[in-house]
Amino acid sequence: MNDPLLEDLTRLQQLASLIDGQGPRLTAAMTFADDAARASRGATNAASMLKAMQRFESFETLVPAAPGPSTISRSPQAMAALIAGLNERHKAGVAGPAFDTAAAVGAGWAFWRDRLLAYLLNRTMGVGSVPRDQLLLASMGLAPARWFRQRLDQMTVAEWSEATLSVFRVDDEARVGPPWLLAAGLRALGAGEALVLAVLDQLVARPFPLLRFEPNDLSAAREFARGATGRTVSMSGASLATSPSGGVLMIIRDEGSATRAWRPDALALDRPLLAVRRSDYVDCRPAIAWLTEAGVIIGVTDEP
Amino acid sequence: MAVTLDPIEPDGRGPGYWKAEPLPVFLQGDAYRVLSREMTAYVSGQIPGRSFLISGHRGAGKTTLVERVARDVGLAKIVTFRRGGDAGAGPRRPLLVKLYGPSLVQDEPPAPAAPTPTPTPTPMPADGATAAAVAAVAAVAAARDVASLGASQSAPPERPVGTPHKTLVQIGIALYRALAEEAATSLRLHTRAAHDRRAGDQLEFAAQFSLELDRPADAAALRQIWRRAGRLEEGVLWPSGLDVPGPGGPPPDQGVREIVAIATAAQAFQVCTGAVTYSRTEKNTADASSQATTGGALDLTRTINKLASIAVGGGAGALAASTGASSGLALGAALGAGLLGLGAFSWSDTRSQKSNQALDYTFIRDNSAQTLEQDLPLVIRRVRAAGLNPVFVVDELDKVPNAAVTIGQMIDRLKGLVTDFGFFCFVTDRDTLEQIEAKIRREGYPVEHTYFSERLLIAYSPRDVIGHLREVLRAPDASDKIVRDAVALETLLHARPNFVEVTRALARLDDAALAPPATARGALRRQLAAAFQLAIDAILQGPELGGRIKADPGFLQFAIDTLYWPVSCWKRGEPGFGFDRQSLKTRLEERLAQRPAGAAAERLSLDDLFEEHDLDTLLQQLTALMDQLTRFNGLRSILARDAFWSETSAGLIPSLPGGEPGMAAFQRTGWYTWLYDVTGRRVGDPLEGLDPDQISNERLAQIDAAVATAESFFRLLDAFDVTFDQVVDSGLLPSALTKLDFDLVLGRLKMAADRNR
Repeated sequence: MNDPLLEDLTRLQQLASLIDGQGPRLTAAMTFADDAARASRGATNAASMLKAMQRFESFETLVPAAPGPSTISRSPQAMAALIAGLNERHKAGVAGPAFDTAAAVGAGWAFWRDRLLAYLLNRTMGVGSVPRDQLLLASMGLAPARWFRQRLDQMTVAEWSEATLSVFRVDDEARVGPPWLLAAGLRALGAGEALVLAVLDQLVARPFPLLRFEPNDLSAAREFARGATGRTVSMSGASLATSPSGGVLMIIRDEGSATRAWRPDALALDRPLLAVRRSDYVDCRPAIAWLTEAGVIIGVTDEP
Repeated sequence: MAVTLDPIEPDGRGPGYWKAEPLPVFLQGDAYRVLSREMTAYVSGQIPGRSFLISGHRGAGKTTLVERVARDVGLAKIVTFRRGGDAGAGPRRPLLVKLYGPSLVQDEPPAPAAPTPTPTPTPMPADGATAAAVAAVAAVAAARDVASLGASQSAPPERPVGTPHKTLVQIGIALYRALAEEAATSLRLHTRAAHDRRAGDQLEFAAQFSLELDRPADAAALRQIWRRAGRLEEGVLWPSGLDVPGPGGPPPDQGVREIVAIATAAQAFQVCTGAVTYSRTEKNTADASSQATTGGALDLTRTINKLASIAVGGGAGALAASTGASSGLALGAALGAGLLGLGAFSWSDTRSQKSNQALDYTFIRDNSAQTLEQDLPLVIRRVRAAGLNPVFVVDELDKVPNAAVTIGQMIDRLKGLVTDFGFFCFVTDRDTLEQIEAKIRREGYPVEHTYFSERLLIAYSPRDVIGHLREVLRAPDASDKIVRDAVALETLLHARPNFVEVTRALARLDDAALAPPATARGALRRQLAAAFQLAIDAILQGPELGGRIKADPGFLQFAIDTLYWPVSCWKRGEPGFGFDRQSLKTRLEERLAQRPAGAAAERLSLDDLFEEHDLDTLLQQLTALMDQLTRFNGLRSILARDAFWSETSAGLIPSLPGGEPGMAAFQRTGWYTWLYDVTGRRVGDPLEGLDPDQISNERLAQIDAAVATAESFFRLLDAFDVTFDQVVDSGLLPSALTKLDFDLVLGRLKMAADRNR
C-alpha cells in the first residue's frame, strides 16, 4: 500500500491497542469521575474530577474494572453498551443526599492538618488515598484541597506561598485558610521556628484586619512552629531555623514562568522564598504589607 | 421571492412636512450607539455638556457619524414632540454647529513683507450644510487681511497670538449661521404648509427670510417676521399642534424665546465679524482708522438684554426708549421697524435695512476676548431656551500639526464653554487618538485623560457590518434569509469591516450575486467564504478578544488585521497558511506602516500601542481561528448557541463533498494547508497520487474496523462529558496525538475508503 494511508491506519490501530490496554483503568476512572461529578449536583464535572484525580494520584489507587462487557475496549459494541448504560444511569438521577460542601471543607481542614503535621514533623509524605470529598473540593477549586498534592514534597514554592497567604484572604471564602496554615506554610517554605513563633505573636499583638481566630487556632499553629524535630524541611541557610531575624524574600512571578515549578527543597538559597503571582499582587497587598511590618518579608524582587 | 438590495432607509421618519429626506442606511457601530445615547441625554437636559474625541481613518465617516446622530436624535425628538413631548423638559433638539478645526487652533501667520497687502478673496457659503465651515474659512481669510493691513501700517497685531479670541470668534460666527439656517428651514416648512392650504406669497416670504438671516437680524425685524408667519406664540422651530396633548408642548412664549435667541446670536455674530468692517472700510483707510480708535462703545451683554426686552415688549418706541444710550442703534431699529410696519417686504425694503445695519457695525466694536468669553455662554443659554441644544463639531483636526497637543491647548482655552455649555465633538484621525491613548497608558492619568468624556474610534466589527447588510439586503422569506446572510458574509469576507470597501462591494452586487447559486460549486464557494467569516466572527465575539476590544476599541483593528491575514493568503491561492509570533508581529507592523500618515507628531510603533501579552493573545486567537477552519463541527456548535444566527445558522456552513471536517488541515504547529480554494475547488488533496485500486479489501476492512473503534471511543468520551485531550492531559492515556490530529486521520482514511468503494 502506497502510503500516506498506512501511517494513518497505524495510528488508529495504536489507539485501539491503547484503549484495550488501558480499558479497565479507564473504565474505573471515568466511572468514578462521572459518579462523583453527578453527586455534586452540577457543582463540578467529570473533566475537572479527572484533573483532581491526577493531582492526588488517585489513578494509582483505583481498582481497575474487571474485564467484561461493561469495560472499555476496542469493540464498538462494548462501547455502545457502555454509552447505553451511562445514559440509563444519568436518566435515573443521583441517589442519596447532595454533596455537603461545608461539611467537606470542615473535614478537609482536619484531614490536611494531620497530613501536613505528619509531613512537616516526620517527613511522612502522605499515606493513603485522598477521600473522594477532597477530590470533589479540589475539582471545584475550593479550599483546602485546592492547594495540596498527594505528595506534599512535590508542592512548589508557588503552591506553598498561595496556601500561606490564604490566611489573609479574609474576604474570599473559597480561598481563606486557618491561622495554622500560616505557620505550616512558612515552615514548608523554609522559615525557622523562631521566625514563625514571632509571626504568631505579632498576629496577637497586631491583628490583621478581619482575621478572626480562637486561642485553639494559635496553639495549633504553634504546634507547626515547634515541631519535635525542629526545622524538618531541609533547606540551605540552616541558621534561619533558630534566628528570628531571618526573613523571607518575596518574589513576584509571572504566570507560566519557570519559577512556577520551583520546589522549596530544590533551591540552593540562603533564605526562604515566598512567590506571589503578579496578577494576585493587588489582592495580596494587605497581607504583604502586614508581613513586611511583621518582619517576615525582608525584601521584594521581580522574577529573575 | 428573492433577496433584493435597498440601501436607502425606509421613508416616513418625522411627521408631515417635517418628514426627513431618506438617506442611505447608516452603518451603525459602537461609536454611533455611544454618541447617540450621550447626545440624547444632553438634549434632554440630563447632562450640561460633553466633549468627545471622535477618531478614525480617512473615509471612516467621522463627520457623517456626528451629522447622522444629530439628525436621528433631532427626528426622534420631533416625533416625541408630536406625541405629547417629554414631561417637564419642553421641546428640545440638537443644533449642529460645524467648525473648521484648523481655523480654531492655528496661529495667525506672520505679516507679509510686501508694503501693500492684497485682500484674500473671501469665499461665500455654498449651501447650508457647508456654510459654517466656509464662514470659518472666510473669517480666517478676513483676519489674515486685517493682520496684513496692520503690519503694513507698522502697527502691532490687534490681538496677541495664542489667545482664545480666534476660537471664540469662530464659534460665535458658526453658532449664528447654524441657528439662522435652522430657523429659516423651519419657517420654510411652516410656510409650505400654509401655502398648500391656501396659495399665496408664503414661499417667497420664506425665501426672503432666509436671505435676511444671512446678515445679523435685529429683534424688531424678527418679531415682525414671526408675526407675519403667525408663529409669534408657537414659534417656528417646532411643527404645529400635537397629535396627542401632552406635557412637553412648546412653552407659551416659544416664539419670543426664538426671537431672543436669534437676536442674541446675531449680536455676537456682529461682534465676531468685526473683521468684515475692516474689509469693507479698507477701501477708505481713513474711516477704518477712525473706527479702530473708537472700539468698546457698548457692552454686548447689556445690549443683548435690552434687545431681548424690546422683543418681548415689542415695538420700535420701546426700542428707542430702552436703548437711550445708543442712539444709532435706536435710530436704525426705529427706521427698520417703521419700514416693517408698513408691511411691505419688498427688495427695496431690504436695501433700507442694509444701510441701517451698517450703522450697527460701526456702533458695536468691542470684540475683545473678555466680552466674547462672557457673552457666548449667554448666547448658548438663550439658544437652549428656544429648544435647540448646540452640538459643536470641530472638524478636520487631522490637518492640524501635532493635533494631540493642539487639541488639548484648545480645550484648555475653552474649558468652561466645553464642559458646561455645549456638546463638543473634536474630529480627528486615528493617529491622534492613539498618541493620546499611548500617553495615558504611559503616564497613568495625565491631563489628556480629563479632556474628553469619551474617546471614540470609528471602527466596525464584522457583526456591525452584518447587521447593516441585513438592513439593506431585504429577505422576505426564511429561505431568503439564509441566502441574504451568506451573501452578507461573503461580501464582508472580501471587503473586511471597512466602511468604504463595504459600500463599494454593495454597489457591485447585482441580481446574480443576490440569487441562490446555480451550481453546487458556486454554492460551496459562497458557503466556504461564509464559514470563514463566521469563524472570524466567533473569535471576535469570544471572551478573549471581546472583552479586550470593549475596553479598548483601538485594539479591534489589530484583531481584524490578525484574523484577516489568513483570508489574504487564501484569496491569493497560497497552498497553506503559516505563522508564528514573530511573523505575526511583522505583519502587524507592516499594517501599521501602511496606514496613511496622520496629524500625530510622530509615528507610534507597535510597542507603543499594546503590550507583549496582547501579541500572545492575538497569536492564540489566530490559532483558534485556524482550528475552527479545520473542523466545522465546532463552529456549528458555536453558531447554534448564538441568537444572532438563530434563523440562518443551519444553512451557512457547508458539508464538504470529500467528507473533510473543515476547509483547512492542520500540518504542524503554526502551519495549515487549505483543502479548498476560494472558488470551491478541492486543493491540497492528502490522497493525491494514491491509486485507490491498490487498497485491498483486507486493508479496507482494517480501515473500517479502526475507524469504527476510534469513532466509538470518541462518542463514549462525549457521553462522559470529557474530551480526548482532557483524558490525555490527566495521564490516563498516553498519546502524542490530539483529537484534532485524529480528526484529520479519520477524515483521510474515510475519504480513501469511500473512494475505493
